[in-house]
Amino acid sequence: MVLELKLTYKFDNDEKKLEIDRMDFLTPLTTETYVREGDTIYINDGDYLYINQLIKEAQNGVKTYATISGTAEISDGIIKITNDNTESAFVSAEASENLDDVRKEEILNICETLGIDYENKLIINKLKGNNKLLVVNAMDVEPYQFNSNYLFQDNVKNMLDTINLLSRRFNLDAYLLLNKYDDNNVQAVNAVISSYPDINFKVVKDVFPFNTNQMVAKKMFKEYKYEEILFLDAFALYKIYNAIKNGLPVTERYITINLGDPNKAYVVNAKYGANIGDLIKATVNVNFEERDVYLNNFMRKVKCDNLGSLIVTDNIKSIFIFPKEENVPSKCIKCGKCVDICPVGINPLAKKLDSACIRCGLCNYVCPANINLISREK
Amino acid sequence: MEKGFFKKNKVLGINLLYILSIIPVIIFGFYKNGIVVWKNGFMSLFLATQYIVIPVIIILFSYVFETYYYMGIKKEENTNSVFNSIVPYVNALCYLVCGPTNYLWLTVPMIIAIDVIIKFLDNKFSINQIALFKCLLYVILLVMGLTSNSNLYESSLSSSITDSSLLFIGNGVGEIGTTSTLCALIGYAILLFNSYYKKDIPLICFLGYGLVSVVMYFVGGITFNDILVNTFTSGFMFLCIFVVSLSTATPVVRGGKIVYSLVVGMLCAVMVHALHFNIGMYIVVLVGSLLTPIFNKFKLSLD
Repeated sequence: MVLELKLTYKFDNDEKKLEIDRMDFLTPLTTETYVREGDTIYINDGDYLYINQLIKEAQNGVKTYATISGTAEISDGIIKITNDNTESAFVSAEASENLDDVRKEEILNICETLGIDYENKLIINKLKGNNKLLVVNAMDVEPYQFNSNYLFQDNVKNMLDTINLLSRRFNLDAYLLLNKYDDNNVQAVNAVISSYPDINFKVVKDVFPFNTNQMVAKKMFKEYKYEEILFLDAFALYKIYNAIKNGLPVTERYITINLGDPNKAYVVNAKYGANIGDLIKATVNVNFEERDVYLNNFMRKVKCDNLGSLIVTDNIKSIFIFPKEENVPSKCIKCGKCVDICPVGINPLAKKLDSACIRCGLCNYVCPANINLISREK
Repeated sequence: MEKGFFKKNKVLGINLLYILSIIPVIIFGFYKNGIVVWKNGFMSLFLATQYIVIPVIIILFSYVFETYYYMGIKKEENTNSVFNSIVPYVNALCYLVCGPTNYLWLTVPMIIAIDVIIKFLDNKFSINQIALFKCLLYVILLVMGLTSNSNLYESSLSSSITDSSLLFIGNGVGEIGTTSTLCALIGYAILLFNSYYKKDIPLICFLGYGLVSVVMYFVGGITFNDILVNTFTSGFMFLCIFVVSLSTATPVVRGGKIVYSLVVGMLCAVMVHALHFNIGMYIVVLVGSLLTPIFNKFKLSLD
């Protein structure tokens, strides 16, 4: 079933010509981070660190945390954490061979033990909430990102089994949303969906930002409040599946890298804690220091200046590396294009940004004067 | 930047297209007020060329003054902002609404003076205040055009043409650039290539004008030919296409644009058909520009 949403912005890249390279960047379980001038270091050489412990803080306030537990070594301006025993790097939980045997309390216990999180919040808090609906938004919501696409493709049956499990144990109506142009996944799900009568499968047009959770809730599930819907993306679902099935947290994630060509992308499977500068040099072999780098949604125009000291975390989904270009903003000509394209119907030209702004960045993208309209306070 | 992602600053191209759109009216103004008058022996060829030279001087001066203002006074290093200004286009519009006069050379210092005043107040007032001063300039130039020595050749034509088809082309009396509805429509066709031009505003404005015209036809006792003659001789089409839709002085939200355009169109029709006060149209636009922040509160959702 195809659900049509209001067309706001369709990007130019022809899906049929899209070329994606997939690769792995699975570094050993060490974490390295560079010490720059002005950094405040909170550890000593030889200290034993625990996962998520604060290591250092840069002059601009950016903090670096340990993504693994292990011994810290500080030398030549580099802080390195080493752990030879992979099992001790995470907390493990009791796994289940068969998903159907898992009870609701066991799901909650596993999620709490492993600290499974989604959108920077613990999933257990969401699972315990007053939910009336489960919506698995398995679409890549950021433009030119293909992480969910491949993750779902590699784990179709596992994903469906997990949705089924959550739906039954938490007594929720379940919806699975996929991108209409995602032929592989749509066909794969169509082939087996009849075996999952409790899952409502919906195919949605790839129109940014109507594939985001807020807009999906507003357009498709109007009768529910946003807080009553348990939204999960493909990655969160996979984390839950891996926790239940293997008793372990996920230690890798897909990251999409784009050098500026909308028809060519690199999807890299990278370990948490991997240095992003190393990852870029290994996969696309460009000197990112001579380019402008944007993280996640490039339309927000938030440049990243300290890529060399960043590591792979849950928050990094895509990296756009463009040639340096001076695109100086000029005065607003009040053409009104930003107002026309805003999906939530606010006026981006107002003196103070409306609280309803979802920071999709479309106003920035269409502005002929290259003004960054969403950089202001709400 | 590779294709498909960030787009370059387009404002220069947008502004150049605006200037391109007024070339038909400039050329026709030169023909009607210069060439025809010269051929009929009322003016020397040298004086006739002022109708093509002066708009060029105004546009070039505007760019030079913008350069001096941004680089010399505001100390901005990036010269891109100079060429991203809509001021040369607006100054050219001001010239086009001036009446044909033997003192056409006065328009240049007048436009310069107003531009200097606007720049002086630039840092303190919002863009709508700038629109106010521009509209004031229109009024001043119109009045100046009417009160100075008028074109002797046109004086001999003034009341002889009532054929609306001839007036559509521009054979009537009027300001330098506003008499030819045909040229204004050609300008509109050029502006349609500008995706940042508010093309719906002239259409809705014309709709409002048409509604009141129809009402006056049935109730006010004017004939259809009167409506056409009034429309083509008042310069309404020029105003509707180039002045009413000036992006920096108009609402940006959908509802606001509709209300603004309808109100301006309807009031223009009243000025033209009922009051026979063509300058009043510019006052209507002036007030409409001042009320733009209020019009911007009229949100209209089509969801």
